[in-house]
Amino acid sequence: MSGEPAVSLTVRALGVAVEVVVPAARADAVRSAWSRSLTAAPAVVGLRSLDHGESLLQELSTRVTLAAIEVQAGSAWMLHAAGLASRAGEVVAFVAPSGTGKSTIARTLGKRWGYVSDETVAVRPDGEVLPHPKPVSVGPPGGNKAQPSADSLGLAQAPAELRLKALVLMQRDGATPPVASPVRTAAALPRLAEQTSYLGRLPRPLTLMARVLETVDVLEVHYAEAVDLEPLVAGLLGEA
Amino acid sequence: MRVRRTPVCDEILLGDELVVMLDSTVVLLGPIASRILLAAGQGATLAEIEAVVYAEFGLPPDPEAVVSQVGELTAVGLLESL
Repeated sequence: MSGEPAVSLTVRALGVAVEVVVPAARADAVRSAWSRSLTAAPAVVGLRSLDHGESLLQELSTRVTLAAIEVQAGSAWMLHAAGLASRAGEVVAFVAPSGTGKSTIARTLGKRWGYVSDETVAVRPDGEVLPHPKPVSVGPPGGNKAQPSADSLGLAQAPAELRLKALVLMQRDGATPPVASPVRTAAALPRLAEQTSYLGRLPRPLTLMARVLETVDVLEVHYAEAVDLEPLVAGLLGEA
Repeated sequence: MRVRRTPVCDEILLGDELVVMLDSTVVLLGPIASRILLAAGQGATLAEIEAVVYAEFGLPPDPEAVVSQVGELTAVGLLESL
């Protein structure tokens, strides 16, 4: 911190209040980027040794997410997924590896359906979804990504209470129009396991995942552009 | 030759397919491989496993099919020789 004035802010990520200590001069930028996540709740974990250079916002995005994931490991199923919600709180999770279009889906379709996350969707065993409306990571994989807030992008607000409605395994392979097909639970489990953080910390992980899958739609979708997915999402969540 | 199952982190039988978690890897087994694993249990001979599989699925065109699958399941660490 090299002695410069610092400000403590607390953001809620995946149901976890995370304290971040940032330079006072950057506090407004951080508040703005994390406008959907600021909370007055007491923090359960703190991040203090942040790199305060140009990449502060990107580092915050990564480290807040990792800190929240570590706290929730063992109690929630955490998928590499973007999430969007209907006004009734039903959530579609778009499951995909890093750098394959999750943020693009979130910022494209999030103008119509409520923004839940562009990176991690956490699901409790009873199907409750824990929101993570972090700044949206915009930019090439591996590069220094811009971190615009959900508000600055005009993304819709998700309801406070969220439940998983559908899991969609994304394949961005150029299919136009998108092709969607159901995936049976047995075939979905290995693919979803590959996109899960801290799978081994969950008690009886396969049993938990299978129980959740019994209550939701599980699809595989081949597509080209995020905007092409609107009819699919409308079908799963209804008109926003 | 006798084989038995190795400990796994978790497993679930869905219809006739077994999904198994071994360390951090999750594997979906087809119906015959699933039946072989279940028949092996705490320990079984190849003949005993073949009898279970043939009773359920009939005689395979390849007489070495069960031996071959036992070998594959052993290679991925789901069975071990006794």
